[in-house]
Amino acid sequence: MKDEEPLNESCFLWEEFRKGKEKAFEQLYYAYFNHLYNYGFKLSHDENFTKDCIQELFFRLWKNRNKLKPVKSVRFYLLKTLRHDISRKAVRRNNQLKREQGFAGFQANITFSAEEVVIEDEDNAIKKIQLLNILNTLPKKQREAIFLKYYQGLEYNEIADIMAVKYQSVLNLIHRALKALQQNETLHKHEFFIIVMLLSRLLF
Amino acid sequence: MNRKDSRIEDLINDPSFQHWVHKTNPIDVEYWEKWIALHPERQDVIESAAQIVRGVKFKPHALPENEILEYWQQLNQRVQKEQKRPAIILRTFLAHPYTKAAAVVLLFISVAYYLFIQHTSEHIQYASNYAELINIDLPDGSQVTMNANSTLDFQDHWKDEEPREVWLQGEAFFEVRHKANNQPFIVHTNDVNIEVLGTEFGVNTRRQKTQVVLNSGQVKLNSDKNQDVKDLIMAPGELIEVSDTEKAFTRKVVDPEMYTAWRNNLLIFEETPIREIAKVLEDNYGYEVIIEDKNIGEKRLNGTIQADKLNILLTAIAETHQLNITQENKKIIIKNHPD
Repeated sequence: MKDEEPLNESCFLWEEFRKGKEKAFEQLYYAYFNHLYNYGFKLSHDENFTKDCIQELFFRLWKNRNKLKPVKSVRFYLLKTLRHDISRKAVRRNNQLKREQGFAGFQANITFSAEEVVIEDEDNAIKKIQLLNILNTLPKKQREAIFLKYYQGLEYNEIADIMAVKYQSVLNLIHRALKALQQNETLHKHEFFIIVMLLSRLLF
Repeated sequence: MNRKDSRIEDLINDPSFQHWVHKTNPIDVEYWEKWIALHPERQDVIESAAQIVRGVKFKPHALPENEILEYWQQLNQRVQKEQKRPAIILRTFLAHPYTKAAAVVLLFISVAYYLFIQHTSEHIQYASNYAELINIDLPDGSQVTMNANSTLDFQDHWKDEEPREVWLQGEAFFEVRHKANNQPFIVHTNDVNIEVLGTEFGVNTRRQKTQVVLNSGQVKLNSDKNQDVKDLIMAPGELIEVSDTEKAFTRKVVDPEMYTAWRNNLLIFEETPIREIAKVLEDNYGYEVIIEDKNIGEKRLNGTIQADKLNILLTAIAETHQLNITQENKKIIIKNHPD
């Protein structure tokens, strides 16, 4: 799903849409709905709320198509707008959040499901669950960075923009997350080795 | 580029480094293996960068298409309703005397601006999906109806002194406006260049050949690939086919409507062998058609059906020739009826 549309084709659709071509608008909707739904749902954990936000977003885009500028990446523009919309609405829904942190305080709490994670050893359910546990217990910012980079396919500078952090911070977040995942692998290999050794001691 | 001071962010954004990590380009793989051997002190940086490039693999969740279709229809309803409003606003706006004057002034300024500023043209491409027709207005007012699974490229602005040019891959029907200055209109395909003055004709470039069918007017064909096709003039009702692979080109008289009926959402078959029908299903609808027996492919069909009623077509084929046709997603299998 990451690289389904070539960059120039989506930019072309965007330009056609700005000119008011309904067909281009429809194709943009189909091309990006899943991207937006996945991000929206992971941010809000609410199916209907997510769907409504997406409809609002596209309707607003259509109404303002004349005022929009050309974009370098349609995917990035849409995801960023959605995150902004959802964080505003979420803060309004949760007054306590507003009092404590304001809009900037919205921190995405992104979790992954087993069907979304792909490992080389597909039949190894245990390994998958281990990976999933580590992923979902990473610090929230690391999870969002991993999600935006490897699930949504955004560029590092785009992630920095969406998360309102520095470019270097994005690299650090990703690096730390990946290290934690890798350590998990070697750790369990190590444990496995010890178990084998103990068993062989028992048997012989 | 001096790779000695490569930082992690230079590496992870370097396409050739990415190719090494994913092993997708042997040249890059060789380059980086050598570089790494020469710079053991960069081992840590390389490993961290490689880890980031490899990252984590995900399989994003995708909603069923008919669900997205439903949501689109809901949105589209709102969009259509919204479309109706602005016209009213525009009328009352222009009715006001002061705004009328303002509109005239604005018009003058914008015309002057256009006249004095160089008009730079942009490249435009239209691409249709399977089972989709697209109507296109060209910069000179000519009309093109593009069939499924096709692309058309052209510049969005044509100068009077130069020919009007488009590039076609797939199938399209052209209605070309005649220009007072006799400005030629040229359709480029992989096999031929079709020059027209003002006319209606269909072009099909499927399967490594270009087929031109002329409805009315006059066209001139030229091919870089086939020397015999030089300034070849076609008359209405003629079909010419130029192939990449065959030396001779085909020329015959046909009923042009049969070849261009798809514009009106119709498919016309006249003694058409099933293997040809299979090609239409593959080229325009994206199906994979498997014909079990070569003899089946030679059986013929007569009739006219609506292009969006494929199941009627399949039923007709099955019943006319006692065949067994099954469909699994995008696969169609045609075999003999077990009698």
